[in-house]
Amino acid sequence: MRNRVAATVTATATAHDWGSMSASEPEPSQDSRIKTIEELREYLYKGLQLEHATLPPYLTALYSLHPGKNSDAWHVIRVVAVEEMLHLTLVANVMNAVGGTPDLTTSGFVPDYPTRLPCGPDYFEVHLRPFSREALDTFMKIEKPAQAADEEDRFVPMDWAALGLAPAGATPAAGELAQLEESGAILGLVPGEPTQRFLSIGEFYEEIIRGINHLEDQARQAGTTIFTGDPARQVTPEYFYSGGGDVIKVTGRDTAVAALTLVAEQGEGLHGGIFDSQDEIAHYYRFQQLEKGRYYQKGDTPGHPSGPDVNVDWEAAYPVKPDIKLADLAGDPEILAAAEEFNRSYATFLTNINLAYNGRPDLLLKAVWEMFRIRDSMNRLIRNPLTGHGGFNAGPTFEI
Amino acid sequence: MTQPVTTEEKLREFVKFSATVTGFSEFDLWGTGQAEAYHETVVAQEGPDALQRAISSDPSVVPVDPVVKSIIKLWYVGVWYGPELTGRVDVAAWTAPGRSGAKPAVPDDSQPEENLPPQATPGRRTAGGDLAGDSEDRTPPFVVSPDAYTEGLLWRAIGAHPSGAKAPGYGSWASPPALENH
Repeated sequence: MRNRVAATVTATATAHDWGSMSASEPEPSQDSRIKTIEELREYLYKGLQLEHATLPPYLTALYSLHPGKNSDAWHVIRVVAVEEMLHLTLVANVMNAVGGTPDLTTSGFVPDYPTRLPCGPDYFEVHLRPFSREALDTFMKIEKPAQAADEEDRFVPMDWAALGLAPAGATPAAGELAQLEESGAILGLVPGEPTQRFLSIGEFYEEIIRGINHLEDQARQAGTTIFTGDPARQVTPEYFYSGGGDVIKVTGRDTAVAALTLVAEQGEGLHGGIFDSQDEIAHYYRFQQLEKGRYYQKGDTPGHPSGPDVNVDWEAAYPVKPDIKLADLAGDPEILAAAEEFNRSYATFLTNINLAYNGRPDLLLKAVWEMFRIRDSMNRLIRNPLTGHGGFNAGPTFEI
Repeated sequence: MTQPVTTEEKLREFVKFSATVTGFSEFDLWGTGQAEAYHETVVAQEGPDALQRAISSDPSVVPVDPVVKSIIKLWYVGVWYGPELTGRVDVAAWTAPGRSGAKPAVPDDSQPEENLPPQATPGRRTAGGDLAGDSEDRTPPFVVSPDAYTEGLLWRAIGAHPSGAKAPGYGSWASPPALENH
């Protein structure tokens, strides 16, 4: 995920100097909505849900590419998807560090697509769909959302009517609201206060960092810490290999902020620049290369890549039916069976990842094998034409 | 059965027939991502009429239509063997594992030029639709696409991964292959 955390963290770090002197004198915390450790953990759960929610759309687009074609697009989307897996792991590490329990198996953890992400005054929909200009546009919005102009701008009253979920000016009934909040159908709501939402996902992460600072300052004044988690629950680099940045072991404020900052930087770059602090191109700019048809190189300014040509064949993708559901597959029993099997194996995969995040980090190594099988299953579904759907192909439904 | 008219219908008919003669499901065949490339290959090499004859033939009759043999082999190994080559032992030896460096039993001029789409591979038919030349200048076997090798049905048939090509994940070699039974 991406956000304005990078800029804010850096600005705040000058005042707090988290990097080297965090133990010295706590500055007054910025106003934080997160007042208890339970609330922080609730935010972190939503963070896990968010990070994961980007994976099915990225993977659907990635595997929609015709085999052996579009290698530039293939590599760009793949790198981003792999780094989102890193982000999921980093958020899990922060959750474990503050004594929380990551849970990727709760009902509703995986959104029923399309899900919705906030982008300034509006929400935008994130669909499961094949590689296309529209998909790329969504990916760029995911990675670089709107920034709040000031403090007041960070929160927006929830307009349920605009999403078609309530009559004008009304709020869904309590039970329905609780379900919506839990389901991942609408991301970026203020946890525990779903009449409001964050202006952007960036502001959501900003709030988590403020909450960590606020709670840790309080704890230290009382001679304790919020970082009470068992270090053995941390996923450390020997269990995570990806080539897309290193996993950070979170044991205190510095490492927690470093982990969340890495998540931010990989999305939209350091200070919103093209490269992050590890000289990797941020996700937003990776995607922009496909749109512009040129690679970035050192010295470029945002929006003006001047490197080698990027070759994109917009037609060389299987026409996956957008937001496909099992209900669409009634006319294709073989595909239906494979799609159901995929959903079961994806649920098992999440269960195994969850075990890894809950004290068995070694299981992540085996989960990688499952990922390859998931890739092969997705490929098979996506390459199968549907019967009676006007030329659309099948795809994974992610109805977990 | 009504005759398929559109390219899509022809492709679907080709896959349906291929499922009958390979023993794999239509779902599996589409899942290779090679259906289109294979269909184009058969049409380019043997012509639409020969393909239609093969599809209309009874595959349980011996001897089977030779084009049917080529189609089966195509799906299993991702290599086009012209009908006259499918049963030849020397050709099999040429492509057998462990023979790299050995003198090929047939001249090794079969590599499709780099970056050419599958349909640009050497065709036997002239523009007029006649078979080009005779058995002396038959088309040597060729790999249809860069992915044809890894997508060959033979890997699933023997319960293995294509070596070095479909990564099952670091260290997974310590466990038995996790593949469906066929």
